[in-house]
Amino acid sequence: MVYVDSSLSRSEPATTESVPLPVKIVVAGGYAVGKTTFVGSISEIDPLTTEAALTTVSAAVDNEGDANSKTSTTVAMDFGRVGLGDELVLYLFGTPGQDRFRFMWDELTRGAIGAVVLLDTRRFEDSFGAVEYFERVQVPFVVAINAFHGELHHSIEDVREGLDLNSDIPVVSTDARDRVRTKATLLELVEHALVKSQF
Amino acid sequence: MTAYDVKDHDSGDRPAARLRVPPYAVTGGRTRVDVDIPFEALVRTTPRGRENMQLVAFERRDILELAQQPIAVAELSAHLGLPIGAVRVLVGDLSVEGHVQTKAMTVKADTALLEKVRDGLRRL
Repeated sequence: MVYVDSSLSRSEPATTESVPLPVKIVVAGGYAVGKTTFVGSISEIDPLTTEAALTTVSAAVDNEGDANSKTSTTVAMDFGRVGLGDELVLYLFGTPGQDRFRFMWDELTRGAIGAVVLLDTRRFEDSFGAVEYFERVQVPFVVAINAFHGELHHSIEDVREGLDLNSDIPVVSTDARDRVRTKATLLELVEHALVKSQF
Repeated sequence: MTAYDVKDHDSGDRPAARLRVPPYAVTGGRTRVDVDIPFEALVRTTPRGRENMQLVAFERRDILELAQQPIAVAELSAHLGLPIGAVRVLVGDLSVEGHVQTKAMTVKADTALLEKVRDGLRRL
């Protein structure tokens, strides 16, 4: 046979021994803005939770004599996974909501291709911190207004002005529950990162 | 002391306490933070890791089993119920021993990679 496709005669798929490259997008925003919903609407697995344990041993406390007085805090981060063909797998990490865990963001943002800052227009001041952070560390980001119940309480221009955003930063509306809108939001981010990468 | 010298510091008549092995015990008391493995790094058991699977124990073996298919450090953390810092230390050790390989981005995403991500997303 002259026309046999060589790929059909392989005894095993080439992908068996190859590991895809993981890429990461960070999903940030205020408490209860819908980060995990956003991740879950596109993830091929139910969002998982990983915890970082922060153990603070206080000498003063230990001296009280209680053996269990070590204070341990955990920071929980929800994440999901989307396979992008054989070569790439995208991980989406939600940031811990509370501001006091901001130090965790450096770790999460390291190596990220970008970030989506989710915004609830009823509480858009909750997203100031995230916007400021990603501007400072120069990670490409988009602001995505999560339209609860299809309502936008402020226009995109109000949000841009309210957050004092640079004109090149995309502001889009999304619906964290809707896979199509979530995907469109991620595409918006990647397109933005592409533009940034060319300068 | 091995990395798995997990001692039960309780008297033994408190079974509930035995279940609460503190994270630092899992990593042999080390809490080093210089393990530079990103949360999304994919871990895969090497042929050597498969060969030696019966020789390692506890969480180390769990990792070798789970990583027969590529799996992220964060996923290992979630599946094993271990803090991510502990998983990083274990994976770091397994990697030094040649039992696993890890893969993650080491440089900023360039245009070519971002185009692949974009195309991959469009195909979803």
